[in-house]
Amino acid sequence: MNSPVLVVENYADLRAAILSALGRAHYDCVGVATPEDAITKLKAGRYSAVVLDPVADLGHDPVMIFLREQRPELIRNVVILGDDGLRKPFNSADLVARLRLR
Amino acid sequence: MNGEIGDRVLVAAPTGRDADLICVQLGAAGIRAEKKENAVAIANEIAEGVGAIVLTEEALVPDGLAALSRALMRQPAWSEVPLILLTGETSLTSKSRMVEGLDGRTNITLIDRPVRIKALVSAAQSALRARQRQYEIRDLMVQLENRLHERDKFLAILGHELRNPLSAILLASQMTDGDGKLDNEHARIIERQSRHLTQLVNDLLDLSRVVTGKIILKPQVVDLREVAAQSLRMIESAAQVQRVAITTHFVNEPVPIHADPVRVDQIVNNLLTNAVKYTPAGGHIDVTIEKEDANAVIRVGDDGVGIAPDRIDGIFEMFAQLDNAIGRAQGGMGIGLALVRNLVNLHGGTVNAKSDGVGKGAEFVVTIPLATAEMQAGEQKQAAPEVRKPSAARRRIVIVEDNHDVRDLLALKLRRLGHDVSGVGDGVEGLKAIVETQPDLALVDLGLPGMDGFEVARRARQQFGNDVVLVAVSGFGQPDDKRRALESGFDEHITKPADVHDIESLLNRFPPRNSDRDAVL
Repeated sequence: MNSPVLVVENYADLRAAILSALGRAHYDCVGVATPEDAITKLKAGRYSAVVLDPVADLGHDPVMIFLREQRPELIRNVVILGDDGLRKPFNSADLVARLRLR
Repeated sequence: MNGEIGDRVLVAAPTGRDADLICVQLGAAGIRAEKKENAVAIANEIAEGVGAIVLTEEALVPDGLAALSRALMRQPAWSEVPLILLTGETSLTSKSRMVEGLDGRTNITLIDRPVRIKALVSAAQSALRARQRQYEIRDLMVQLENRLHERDKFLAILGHELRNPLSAILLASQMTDGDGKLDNEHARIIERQSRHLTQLVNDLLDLSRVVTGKIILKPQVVDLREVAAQSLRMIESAAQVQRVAITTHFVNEPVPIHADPVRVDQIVNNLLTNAVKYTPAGGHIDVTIEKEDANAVIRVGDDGVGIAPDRIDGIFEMFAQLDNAIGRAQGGMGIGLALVRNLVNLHGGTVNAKSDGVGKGAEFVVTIPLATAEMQAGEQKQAAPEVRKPSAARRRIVIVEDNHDVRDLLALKLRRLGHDVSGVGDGVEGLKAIVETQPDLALVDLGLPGMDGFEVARRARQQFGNDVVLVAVSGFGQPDDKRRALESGFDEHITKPADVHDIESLLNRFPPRNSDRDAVL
């Protein structure tokens, strides 16, 4: 079985809706609100992909910095939410399609 | 920028002691004059700030003329440094050649020699006045540029603010089961986020109305504790989601204020929303209501992210949260607190923010004057003697609304509450449906194809007198729209999106007008 997808989104209702949408598509996923929690999770366990709403531009986002330095193999499996990636509002099919492309 | 340097008069007069004499005379009139060696030296200082220039003809040698002309051409759009040129007995042609040499972009006053001191001083004074006007225009341009910049930032943040709730609504709405039904969890997400968007739109419109002085208070004597309790009920669900505990400490006696309850609810609601937004999971919010001297006081304190000392003064300014990363991440446009301050001021009250710093929580304290005994006595006299009892009776309702999604959804909700509902999509059909079904309540959109809502109301009123309750439902919630609706014969005006609870409370306020007919049903 695949490792879970880590969802990093601070907007609580959106995080809940993303977890539902990915659950429907049979992804096992874990949701966190802050970059700190995301890094703690990434240090502690294995994840197959990350859905990330960055808190800063990609060069300065703490999760992206951590991934580049500590988990470079995961970088290509990151789905960025926002203007640099999957633009909000997005529907569940687009989100799932992005994950499948990875 | 310029201050004194922008008010100085630069003088170049190479012959004899002309320059010194001019400086002395201008100085005696309170004008700051500085002697410069030649026109080139003056040209080099124009960019630093100059109030006016006084030159004698002899200073305008070809080099000086060219340098001055270049410097004057480089002035920004608002600037036109006044130049006073003291000319000799030269012919008119040579004077106009000098003026042309300065390229037309110059505000020149020619004074023939011998110069009377009075004339020179007066010319310098009016040149400095003209320059002062230019500085005012410059400052205004800077202000306008800043405002445009703020507006651009605001639009960018607004776009961002709309994206999160819209994403949550879109995703949650796609979580239907095989029969196209939504479970409670996703329905609640949609409802919560729709309310959030509604709140955002209402705050934006209200703030613009407060700022332009268009908000009209409808004050009455209300117990601050009751209004706050209502606001607390509205925030409960958001606090639960955020896992923030709210504790209330209300004084054990009425706290009467003479205020518009809708606006006080908005004040409290914004403070609570703000507290929830800036308090991480596991945090606490304390809401205290008490009396202090002649004031009602409400305190909303939290142990959340706090406010940096350098931000606390500007926290009630519009868009204050724009540069605040936490605010942005949590969905904060800096509208709520600006609205709070304006609404509190309209009520003759005060609002203050306190915080020991970042990470140390914050407390917002609002005071509103307590209602005087006279106000309370006056209110009791005016109180309507007839109290309409809530009624849960089944009602006949007609919805006239051209947006079929809005119409169908509202009809569905009202049917679930047990009412007999029919819906039509234009004004002519709407009037026909009202005539045929003789409903207890007609909800009529104002902007309808065929016949607008105002006309539907006028005609329905002509036919039925007061036997039907007519409610205007529109996206336009300005006082003028409401007034126009009431003048057309509507009993009430509600602003979109029409909330089923608002409609229920309307139904309770208007008991069935024809109880015989209900008995037959």
